Amino acid sequence: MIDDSEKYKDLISIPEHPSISYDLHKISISHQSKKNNSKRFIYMKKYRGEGSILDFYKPNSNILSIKEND
Amino acid sequence: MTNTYFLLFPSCVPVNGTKVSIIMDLDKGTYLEIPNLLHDILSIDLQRFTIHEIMKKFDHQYDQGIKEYFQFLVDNQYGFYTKDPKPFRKPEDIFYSPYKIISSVLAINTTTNYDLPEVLKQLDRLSCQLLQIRIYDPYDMDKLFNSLSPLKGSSIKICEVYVCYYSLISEEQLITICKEYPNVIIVVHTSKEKKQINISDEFNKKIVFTGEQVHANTKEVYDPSLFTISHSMYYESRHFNSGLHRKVCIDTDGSIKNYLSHTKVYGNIKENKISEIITKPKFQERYFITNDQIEKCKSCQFRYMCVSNSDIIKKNGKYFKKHTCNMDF
Amino acid sequence: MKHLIFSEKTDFSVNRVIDWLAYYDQSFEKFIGPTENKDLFIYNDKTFSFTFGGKGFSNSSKVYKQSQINTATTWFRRPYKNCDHFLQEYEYQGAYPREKLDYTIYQRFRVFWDFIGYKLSEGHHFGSFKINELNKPIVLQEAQKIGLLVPKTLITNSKEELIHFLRDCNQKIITKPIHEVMRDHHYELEKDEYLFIYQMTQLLEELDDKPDIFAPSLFQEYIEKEYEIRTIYINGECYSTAIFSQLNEQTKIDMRNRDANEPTRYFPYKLDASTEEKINVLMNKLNLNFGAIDFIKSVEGDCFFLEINPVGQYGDVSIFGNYYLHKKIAEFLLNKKEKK
Repeated sequence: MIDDSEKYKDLISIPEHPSISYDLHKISISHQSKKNNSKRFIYMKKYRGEGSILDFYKPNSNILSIKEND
Repeated sequence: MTNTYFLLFPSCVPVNGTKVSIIMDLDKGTYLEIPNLLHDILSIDLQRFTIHEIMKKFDHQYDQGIKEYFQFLVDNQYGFYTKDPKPFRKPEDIFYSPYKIISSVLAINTTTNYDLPEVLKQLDRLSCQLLQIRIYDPYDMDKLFNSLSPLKGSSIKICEVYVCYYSLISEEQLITICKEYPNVIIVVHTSKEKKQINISDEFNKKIVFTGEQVHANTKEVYDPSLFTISHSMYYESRHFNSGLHRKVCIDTDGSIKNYLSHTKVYGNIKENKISEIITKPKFQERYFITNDQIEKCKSCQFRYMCVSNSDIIKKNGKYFKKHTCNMDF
Repeated sequence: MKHLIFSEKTDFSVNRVIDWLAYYDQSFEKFIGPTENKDLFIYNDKTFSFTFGGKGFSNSSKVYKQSQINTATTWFRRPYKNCDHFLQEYEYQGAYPREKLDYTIYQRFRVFWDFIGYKLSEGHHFGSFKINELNKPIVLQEAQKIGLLVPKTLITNSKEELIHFLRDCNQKIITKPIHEVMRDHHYELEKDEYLFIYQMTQLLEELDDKPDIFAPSLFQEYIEKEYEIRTIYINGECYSTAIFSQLNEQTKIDMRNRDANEPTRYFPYKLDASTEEKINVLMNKLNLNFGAIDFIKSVEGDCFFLEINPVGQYGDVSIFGNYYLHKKIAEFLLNKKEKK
């Protein structure tokens, strides 16, 4: 997570006010785009919710002589 | 230095080889080559002996080397210095998996007549995580699309499908399959041209066309680029055969095997349920033969990261892999 | 009999426990709040009947939809706090303001929903239904009473008090939210572009910048750490790991600020027996059988208690400690082991 608080400072301008706690003036903002965090979740019946795909602790478990050329 | 200890993080595992040793970094998925002497030093109970005591153990012969190597390992975050090593614990050396089948390979050719959708349903019920379907001959893509329907909503994480190139193969259909089943990855083998089709940015998926051929005698490759360094893999390979543990394969004629290249057949999918075969002690025998028990592999520094599915032979009370490699330098 | 899981739409740590429940052939229902998803457990289609009191009258609890629904165990992983899942549209033309009537109705459901949580908590359960009641300053005070070391803490709305406190703490203090309300908030800039708003523990060394006026806020002395300790408390057992977040400059103050390429290092850890015992007393007092508890080990060798998160993540501790906490939770749900 990259701290972009300076860049987006004006987006959330917290007023100085007796109702607003000190820590809210120290909010951090991080810019994220969905493309970078390629969302690899799909609905799975087993979990009745989303599970992650294309991710496994030993993806090369069935090795063939074919290597992706990238 | 007199009361300072050096500890390696437990994610950094020293493994000795015949000529050279390594430190596996389970967090980063990388490894670092180290001399065997350093491996021996790191194999000392580092929580019991201060750096000074370790130096003494080697009759102060390697003081400078120990000092420099420890500093190098600290600088590169493989370890740290502490004055109080007592509260630190080695992780328990155990491996459990809730998946009755971890991985599976299915082979299909023109003579194959087992019920593919039914096999997929059975594998999903057994919580199979990683699936590979090797189709040796040209195959109707509509039929493939329909046969894969049990993958919808299944908890299979990755399904690699190797399809054979033929002149009328429709790229559109391949793309449709990939889009319909997000956990499917397609490789087109025996292709005249090498290329890639990008499917979606979201899943970073592509269809790869390769000139190589996939057939019944395709050999496994052992290559450092295919090594797997991870926490689960490490602990699994300490207790089980990293390739064959909870793997079930179905050959073109429906034979149920530990792996396609093995000769031993335990049943046939047309008559038996997968669950009934995989619970047989004979079928599970190879699950428990670790690289630490196999000649040659047991002295290889890559033994906790290599996924070999080779059959294992027993000769004079010793285990040998049928297919070996020459990577243990 | 089924296990009832209070969760959220996407919760991978619940998935890993479900993997183990499936391994042991257990079935479950999942409740995540109001949902269109037919797979999930909902409350507004069910009939309820609870009886108690009187003479010769029996205590009973019945939840049914056609047939009775029996819950074997309940896991309050991330319990749904609101009770809007009971509310349904209705016609109203009265002169009394609609929103006041809505509020009255909602408050009544609130009591009923809390009662359901209470009834489920009578049975074998894991986690807590009433996570809203965990108050950060109260937990710190209770921890101190039991004898755990807590950082110097100030709660104030006075700048003057804050300046004094900063001086007392060698010009190094931190401010953190008294309650994590803005956590994990996503603000959509444009399609697929988000701003992620989060609150980290912030180091303060000078107070010349704004604000001068503020609502009651929480401040603590800054403690230079050798490492952090995260303890996952599961029904009397402590599973701890040291977290070496200070190795990277960015994670020195708050470990969420990490670089993906530089992994944070963990080391399984054993708290001393007296600290573990105090944790046990504290958790019993707070009526919790699960919590993610944070400590700091200072460079001087002191162990400071920081906070308890009753719905905290435990996946990292499980992997890096090789503790198999998902398996332990599933086994706790199905074995009905007695509490220690």
